[in-house]
Amino acid sequence: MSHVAKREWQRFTPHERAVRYGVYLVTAIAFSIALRSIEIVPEFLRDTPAQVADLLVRMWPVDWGFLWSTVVAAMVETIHIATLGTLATLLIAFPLGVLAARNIVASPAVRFAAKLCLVASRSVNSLVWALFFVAVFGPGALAGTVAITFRSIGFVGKLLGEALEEVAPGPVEAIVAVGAPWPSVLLKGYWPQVKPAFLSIALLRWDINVRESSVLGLVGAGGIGLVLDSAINVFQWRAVAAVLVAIAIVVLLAEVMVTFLRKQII
Amino acid sequence: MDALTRRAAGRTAFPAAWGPRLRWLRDVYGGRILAVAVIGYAAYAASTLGFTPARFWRGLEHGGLFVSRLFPPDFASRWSDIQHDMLESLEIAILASVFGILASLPLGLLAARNLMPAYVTWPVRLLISVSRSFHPVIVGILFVKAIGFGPLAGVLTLAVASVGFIGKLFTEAIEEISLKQVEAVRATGASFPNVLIFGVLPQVTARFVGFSVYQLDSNLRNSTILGIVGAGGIGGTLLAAFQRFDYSIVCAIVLVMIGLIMVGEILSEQVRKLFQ
Amino acid sequence: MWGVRSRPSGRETGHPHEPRRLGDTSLGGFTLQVQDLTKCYTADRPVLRGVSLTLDSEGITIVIGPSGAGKSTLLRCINRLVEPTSGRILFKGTDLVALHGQTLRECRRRIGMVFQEFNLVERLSVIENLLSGRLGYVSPWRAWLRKFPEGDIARAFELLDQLGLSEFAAKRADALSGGQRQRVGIGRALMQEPELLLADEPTSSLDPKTSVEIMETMASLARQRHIPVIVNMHDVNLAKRFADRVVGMTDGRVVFDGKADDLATEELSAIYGGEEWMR
Repeated sequence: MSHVAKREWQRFTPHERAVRYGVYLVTAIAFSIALRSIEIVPEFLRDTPAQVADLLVRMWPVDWGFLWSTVVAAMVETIHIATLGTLATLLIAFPLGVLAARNIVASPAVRFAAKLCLVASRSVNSLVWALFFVAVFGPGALAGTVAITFRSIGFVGKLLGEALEEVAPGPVEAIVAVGAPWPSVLLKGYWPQVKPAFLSIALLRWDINVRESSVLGLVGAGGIGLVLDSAINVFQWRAVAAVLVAIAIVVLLAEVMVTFLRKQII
Repeated sequence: MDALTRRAAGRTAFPAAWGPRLRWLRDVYGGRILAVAVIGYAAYAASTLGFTPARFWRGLEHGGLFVSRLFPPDFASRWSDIQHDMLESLEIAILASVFGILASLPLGLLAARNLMPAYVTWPVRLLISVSRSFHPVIVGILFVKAIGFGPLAGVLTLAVASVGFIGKLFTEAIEEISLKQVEAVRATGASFPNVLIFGVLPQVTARFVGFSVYQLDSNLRNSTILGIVGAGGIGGTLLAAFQRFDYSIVCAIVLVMIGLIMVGEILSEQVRKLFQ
Repeated sequence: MWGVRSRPSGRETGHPHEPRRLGDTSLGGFTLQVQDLTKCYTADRPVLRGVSLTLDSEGITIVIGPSGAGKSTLLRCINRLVEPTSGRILFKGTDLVALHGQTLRECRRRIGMVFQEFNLVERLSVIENLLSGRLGYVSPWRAWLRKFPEGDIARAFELLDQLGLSEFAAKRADALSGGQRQRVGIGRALMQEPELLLADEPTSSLDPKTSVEIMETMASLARQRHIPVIVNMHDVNLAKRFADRVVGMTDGRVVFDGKADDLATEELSAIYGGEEWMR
């Protein structure tokens, strides 16, 4: 009978374990520091469920009259803001996405500049863009639409750039080999392959923009946000409830529409 | 469809019945109809919203003036405020993410229709749906009005948003697992928790980590602006500076915000790769 | 250990509940006694029609029959992965049909199962898959931290050696070939130290050569450990080669029960219908 040496089994290599512990440790430290230094009054925390319940009670029953009189028009404006903003984005983000694609543009400097624009656009929240443009264009839907545009460019441009980089080189090479000028190469070589991705990204961003547009009015950039803001400021909670219902319905319808249209494309 | 194919399709006869007729129209003229529709809509919407070229030009002039007032960014005069509020936004994001992630794990499991009976999944799925219905800013305002200004409202808002986002995706991931692996673990006589640990979780952990990291990043972005509605963090400072027309400070704050978000993006990429 | 822990189920046919007795083979020393087992998925189409079977010793019993005969359902009823509609299944004296919850799990861990599609947890390593056979014996906390008892880990490595898979211990299960995965599946079942081994079409997803290897592995390991095996398969020649006993099923009923040598053309016709396929 042979002696079998006792074998150890370890789930992770020492390196993996060190790294995992590292991450947990950092998270735990960050959490405890955050917990201790945040200025939260414990009494308020304990009070929270009761206060939230109180607010919800004040919102019932929903003020349906308010819905028809004011909300619908504002909601339509919100949708216009989202849609126009998305359309404008597509016009600007497409060339930027092309400029950022590794397989289309050779110069790293140009690509870097394009990527920088896209990152900057993404890193500033649409609400902050809205603050800017309200200062520039004055309050109203124009500021909101431009804000949506500027925020979406980063999102659409990045995804578009990635889609362009994943294009199969074969058909493109074939067109280049024929001696076609570069607009034709773009149109016949790249466009057919990225078209489904492009439409899908556009729909996705439109869906997100509908949600974003609904809050821009809070800083004066038009849409339902203005109505919401006024209702909250005068403590008309039942009217607020009506606005929330309208927003929820529109967001839901937008999602359904987007899902349907995406199936058509694929 | 490109021009050549369109022309070829167009040479076929205009069909008699309505169904094929509509499809023929779509194939041959589809692109052009869409283009016209889009331009038409854009023009209509623009006029409804009151966009006139005059307004636009005036805006651009104004914009030029505005941008000149932004630069150079003033980091010095209110640096301690900016620092304090930026840290507060970071704290809000961390706390909300931890609570949200911890809550989504059990909630996501409870909402999975292939693991739990209907009377459990329905209410939990409803809860998760409601949590993601509204933009965090709106949820933020409601919490502020309910429990008062300050970071508590911010933490609660983003925790709710996290549960809504991670919860939904996690449940979808669980519903896509191979039940055969689960069946085999059950056959060994394992208790329900053990079946979850060995049969379900290994199939979904990588994706859960991915969602969590994404949400942490998203929370970081949102926490910076929740202050605009009073839920704590740098957003409040930003709004105050705007209202004071103190644009060079606005610029400083926005640059700090961008910096933080970019660092967050890079870190989250790294962590995601680690847990792959 | 005494005392009735099972709840009456609506499917009971009124038999008295029996107290749990570990290792009691007083009913004539039978490991497994299936009595009048019936299973209907829909009211009018029974998949199992009053099947009765007795298993009294170690050895390989192979169940053959056409698709839809109920072979797989029979096996899955034994460890209650499928709920029988009526009948009794006595496993060393305990009626499995009457058990629920904790007691059912305790009985299940004494029965190992090997699956047609291996059913390994793909993202876990081979050693973790083997150890999952012990999940009926560890607490969730230990399972989470992978703190299995040392004896279990040592046994797992021994089994890996016997299965010829030592170099794959830390590899992810989905990195293995079909035959290798099935060996891990057999290992997992054996890690339970079962008193009965069930195998549901273990070779149907494998090529002929690997099928024979798997059957050899399973047969030798089971014989070594004195564990009776019930296998179900549709390859008659493979069955004849490895079976100590053959059970033929058709349309939810047992139509043949005897030695492999007694399985001639007539009997095969009765089981499968027609003779053309035998030429």
